[in-house]
Amino acid sequence: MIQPRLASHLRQRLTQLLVPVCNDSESHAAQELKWLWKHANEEASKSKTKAMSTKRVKDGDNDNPSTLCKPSKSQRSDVALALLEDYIQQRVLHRKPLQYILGTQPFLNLEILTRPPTLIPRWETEEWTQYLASRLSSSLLLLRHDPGTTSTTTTTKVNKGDRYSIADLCTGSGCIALGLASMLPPNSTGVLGVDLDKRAVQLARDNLDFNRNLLDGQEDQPLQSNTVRFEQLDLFSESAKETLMHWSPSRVPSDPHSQGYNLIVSNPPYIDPEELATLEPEVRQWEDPKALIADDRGLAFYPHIAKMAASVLKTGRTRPNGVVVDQTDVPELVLEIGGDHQVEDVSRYVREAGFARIEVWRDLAVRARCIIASR
Amino acid sequence: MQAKLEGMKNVQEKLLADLNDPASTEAMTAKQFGETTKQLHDLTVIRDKYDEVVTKLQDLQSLEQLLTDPATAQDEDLVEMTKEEIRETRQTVVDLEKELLITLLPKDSADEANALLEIRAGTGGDEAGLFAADILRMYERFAETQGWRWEMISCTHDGLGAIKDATVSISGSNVFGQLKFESGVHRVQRVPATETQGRIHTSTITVAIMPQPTEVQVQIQDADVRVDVFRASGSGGQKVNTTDSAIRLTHLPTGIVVAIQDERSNQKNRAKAFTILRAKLFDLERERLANERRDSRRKQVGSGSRSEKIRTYNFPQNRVTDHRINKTLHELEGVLNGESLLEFVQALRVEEQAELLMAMNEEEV
Repeated sequence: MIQPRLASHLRQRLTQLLVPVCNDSESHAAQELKWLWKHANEEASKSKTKAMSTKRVKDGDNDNPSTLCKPSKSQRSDVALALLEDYIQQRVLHRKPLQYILGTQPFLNLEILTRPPTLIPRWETEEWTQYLASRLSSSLLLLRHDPGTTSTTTTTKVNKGDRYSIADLCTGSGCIALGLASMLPPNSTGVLGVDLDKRAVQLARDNLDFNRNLLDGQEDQPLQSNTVRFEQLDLFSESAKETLMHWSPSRVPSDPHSQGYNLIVSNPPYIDPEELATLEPEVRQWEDPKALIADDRGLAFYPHIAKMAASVLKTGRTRPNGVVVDQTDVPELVLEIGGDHQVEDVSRYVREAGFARIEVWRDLAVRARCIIASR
Repeated sequence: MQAKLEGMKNVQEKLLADLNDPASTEAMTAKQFGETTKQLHDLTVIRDKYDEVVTKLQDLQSLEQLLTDPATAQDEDLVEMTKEEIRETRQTVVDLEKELLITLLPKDSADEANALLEIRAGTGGDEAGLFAADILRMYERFAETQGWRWEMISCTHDGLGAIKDATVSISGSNVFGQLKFESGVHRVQRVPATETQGRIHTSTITVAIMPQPTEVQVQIQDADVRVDVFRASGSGGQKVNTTDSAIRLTHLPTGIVVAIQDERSNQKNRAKAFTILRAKLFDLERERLANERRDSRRKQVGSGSRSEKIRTYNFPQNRVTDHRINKTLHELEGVLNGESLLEFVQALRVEEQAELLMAMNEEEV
């Protein structure tokens, strides 16, 4: 689709409007305007019904007969302009996050759908997910045996019970679960993502469908035949452990050793309730507080998740065939944290839960971002 | 010359035999195989041209014999026809020999590569930014006429319709070879729209064309690159929803800095930034090699410095002048809409070929 150019004076005026919500950066405001304008044009050309309803938004009148047929080019650009103005109003007056307006956030090679109030994927999470996947990939790839031949192979289908099994607790939009599934070796892995919030689970499932469709028919299979499943679960409920074991992606009813997990990942809420007031409006007013705030100075989830992880991780680290993971530096627990101030406490919880090796990963802004542990 | 060509012919035959022999191809590494294939291709082009020349020369010989044949002399029509044919064949031979010479010229291995185009507004304030936008459009249209793919990597707008800088990836056949002489300072002389007293202003912009290397040609060590991202104040993570996915790479050994912010995806910005960094490092290395060679060679049209003023676009006089070859076209609009730019591109290539030929002759003497 050819996108009409915004008139220069209009572009300048709208950019200025966006500057205050773009860290006072004019160049960044220009970028946001570009993305919003592109989105407005895509939406405007989508369907006549859509165009009608947005036209109404603009004109505030009832059914206008001229919009009942497919909109003409100039009508379409009118619609796009009206949409753009609406977006900018939402952005500037209501401080709606850009990603909720656009409806997506790129995450690794995926497009993650974003809907209020489910947490929007952060770049820090994207960064460590990629790092984790590359670290796992090398271990999984190197150690996968095919008992029929002498050489290791990446194309054999692994039996369900022999899959590398991951649980993503507090999965939100599902970005970590999907990101890992898309980057790990084909047919090697099953991921379960759980969240307390029904809307999050629905969004995560939509994301599974959306990314499957989005990349379908491309040369490299998006999810590489790794399995991903999303379920609603309250981690603090009594049956949480049993439920997790039951949903284990590698579980085969006839084989009691097949259930459980090789890796637990989690990006739980970690913001101190006292900090709530200091958050930027985009976060405070739009994203689910349950996905952001945790009691006990933001630490409430960590001891629980660490203990839960210790109880659902597989005890034997090797399987006779299939995915073999026995390298000592392969993580078994990855927890995103709020920063350097939480390193000490979270490390202690993890140690007390029985994890002996503990590592801190820093993000590109050199802040402590993850606690990595293995037993 | 003849002996040299016969020698090439022998080499070409040997390579062809090698590549057709499974025993010898199996002994080659993938890289050797690739190089041999490439070499064979280059030699085959020369050989085909040479064979054509030889055939035409033989034709010419038999035509001349025919003319001296007493039987022919009796038929006036036949004599005329033969003479005509001899003239034509001579002309063909001359043309073919020219083409043959060009195939013999040393080749820049980067000619076939895709290219990065970088445009920066220079002196002249807003007017330079507006002219930068004009030149960007000129290359975009030119790329269209050539059937090339045009992919904007980054573009910083500056005021009404002006741009501060732009980087574009252009891919297709022979992109660098065609565009490499565009590098340098382009100057515009015109009355800016904002000028009330009708005075002509002069502003400049800089154009850089760099070949795009493959990942194998330029390998970047992780430890050599510092990656900076946008840092919100505070501790980041869930607390901040940043939509700023800008990324800045600093190549520590050379100090080259590349910053990209156009995509919403960190990953894509990073990939683009590395593409540019790779091209810049490749360019640096090519420049170093060129400097080493330059002492022993005459100055060439394409090897001038980036700060050399290469072309003037004069609006009041409706002309574009290329200062390196002293060529002027009185159709400014045609050049700026990308159509007549080809005339400069071709003229510069011819100039380069002429210089290379001279250099080759000097070597032979």
